[in-house]
Amino acid sequence: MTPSPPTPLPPFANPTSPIDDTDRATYQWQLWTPGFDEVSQARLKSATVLISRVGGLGSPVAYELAAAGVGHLILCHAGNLKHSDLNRQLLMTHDWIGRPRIESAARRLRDLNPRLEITAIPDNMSDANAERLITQADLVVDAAPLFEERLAMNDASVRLGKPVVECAMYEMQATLTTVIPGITPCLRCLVPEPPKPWKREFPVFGAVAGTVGCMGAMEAIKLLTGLGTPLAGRMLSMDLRTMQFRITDLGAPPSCPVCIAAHRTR
Amino acid sequence: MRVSVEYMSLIRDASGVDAEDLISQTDSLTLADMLEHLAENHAEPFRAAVLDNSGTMHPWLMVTVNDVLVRSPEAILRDGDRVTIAVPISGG
Repeated sequence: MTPSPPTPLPPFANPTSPIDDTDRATYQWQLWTPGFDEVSQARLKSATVLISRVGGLGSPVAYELAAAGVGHLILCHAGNLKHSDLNRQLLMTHDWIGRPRIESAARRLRDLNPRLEITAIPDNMSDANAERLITQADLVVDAAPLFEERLAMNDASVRLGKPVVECAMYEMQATLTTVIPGITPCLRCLVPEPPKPWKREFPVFGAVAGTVGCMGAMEAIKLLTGLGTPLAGRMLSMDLRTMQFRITDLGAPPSCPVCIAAHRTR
Repeated sequence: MRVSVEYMSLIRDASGVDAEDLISQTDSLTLADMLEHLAENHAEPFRAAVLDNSGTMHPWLMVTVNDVLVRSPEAILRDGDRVTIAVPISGG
């Protein structure tokens, strides 16, 4: 049992919207990155990313993608802001307590990047809305706290052939992986049913959310532009209590009923 | 044989330790055997976290051997293998 080598992937966004002088000025520092050029920036500008929940994990994902110049974010998050959200949900502020979280997130992102197009959905992902929303996106970032939501989004993404960045956290630990339908195991291949011990509320620091959220955003940027080597078929596990980071080879190819059914229809 | 076992997420909570070594008098061990041995050495919350009522590994349990995910309870472990056991996490 030895890990297999990682594989580079083609970009998942097309550069349909060319960049202008304002973009050149705004993104100058990232345009100095080797392997990332004006076509790469145009891919980000042209891209639509769906982020499921903009709470602890999704807030830094959305903020970093808005900062990097992704053109369109579809954000899904239900409910009103509570005090107990504020240690980690960085797109929320004290003055917004009792008001819709999704409105706070959209407001903060527009302050950062007024050119960003935002589709704000005041609902969480479910079987009822997943396919309709995911079909509009080039890529999905999963930052939901319940496996039921994650699996609904996974199944729709696999059927539609959309890549998913899976970010998750618990206590001082976090995991990150990328699902490429038809190529890597999907979430349901790994987790066929919601684990019974998992609960919606769990111990965590905002800094853990920020760490893995920023990594998830970087993974999304890599997938959209073809930069670097994403975690496709591999899972990064981190324990911030000990600062131990480990990459696991997820092994077998897609094998769950959802992957098999999607493969038959392609 | 000696296998090093590391616990993550809710399995760490159930075991009460971060890691331990499992020592067996045999040359090899299946993953199912290892989980049963570990369950015998820990209090009930650990057994419930890794095995169902029939003693079968939970379908969602994530076990890696030498940094490769292993899904079959019949996978063979050998001396010196490094194992991690975790309940998948979904914190968002």
